[in-house]
Amino acid sequence: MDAYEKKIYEILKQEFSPKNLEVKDVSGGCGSMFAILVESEKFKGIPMIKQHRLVNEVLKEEIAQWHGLQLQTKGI
Amino acid sequence: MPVTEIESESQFTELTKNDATKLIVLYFHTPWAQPCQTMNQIFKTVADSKASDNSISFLSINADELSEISELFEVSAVPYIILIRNSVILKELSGADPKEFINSLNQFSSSSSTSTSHNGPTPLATATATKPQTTSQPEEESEDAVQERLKKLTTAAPIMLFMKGSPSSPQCGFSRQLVAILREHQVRFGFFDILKDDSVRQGLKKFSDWPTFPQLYVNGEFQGGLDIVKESIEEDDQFFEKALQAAA
Repeated sequence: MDAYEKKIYEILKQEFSPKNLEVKDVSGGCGSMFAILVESEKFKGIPMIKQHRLVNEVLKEEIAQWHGLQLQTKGI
Repeated sequence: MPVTEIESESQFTELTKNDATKLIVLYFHTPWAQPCQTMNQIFKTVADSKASDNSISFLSINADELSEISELFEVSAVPYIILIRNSVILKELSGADPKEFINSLNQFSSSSSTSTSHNGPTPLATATATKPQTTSQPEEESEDAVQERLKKLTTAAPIMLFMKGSPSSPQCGFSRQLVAILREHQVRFGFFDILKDDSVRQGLKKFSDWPTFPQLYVNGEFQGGLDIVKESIEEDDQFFEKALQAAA
């Protein structure tokens, strides 16, 4: 992971203590499009849209600068 | 002449102001847009093939860096090509269609004709994307007015898709995929091209508290973007039918 990917990774790790976490820059290193996977207990029992909103909230400032985001979340 | 990459606005002004007979081909691109990669090659190849033709000028413009020029021509999506002669816009092409580009080029380049009298072709700014079925946007809009308009827009059809581009010409991979899913499930939906209206584009993000597009609404209720709709339909084949019934 490059420095920026790591930054996002750490933010999510701290917030969700996930069992599985993947952060990938899919914009060819431009930092403008990301594919993220977060599987955490914190997502158990809440609808997917709510799970995504939680991630959006935590990464609000970063996402505002991105062109796109592929997000997969799961409660495990 | 082969492709000239524009580095500054002054250079652009310099290269476009003088010659009244020259056909100027403007190519707007950005480094991050996927379709631009393909179009970059094509543009270069076509320009090189016309290298000996001095009546055509090929100018390449990074739409992000030279945003003033993009705004001047109201370029809202890349790749975007504009053909100009004598300060008159002859044709505008949105998206990456090499055939269309070459046809337009041949249509307007007149290497053989010697036009000394300027009849001046009528300004033909043809937008290729279809117009969304909404009212035209007012000059100044208050926040409340925008929210009101959004409420109307999100309920314009039982299923409304706010996307980049149109279903026949999506300007983004995610938008394209979501349209494909809707069509696959034979869902009737209305759409709105957020690239054509910046106040909706920004306002809707606040309205749904969601940072990205595409956005799907069922009976005025925000459902999610591509990822969520994909998951939802994988979990339940009847996702759309149920959503329609639920919110009604």
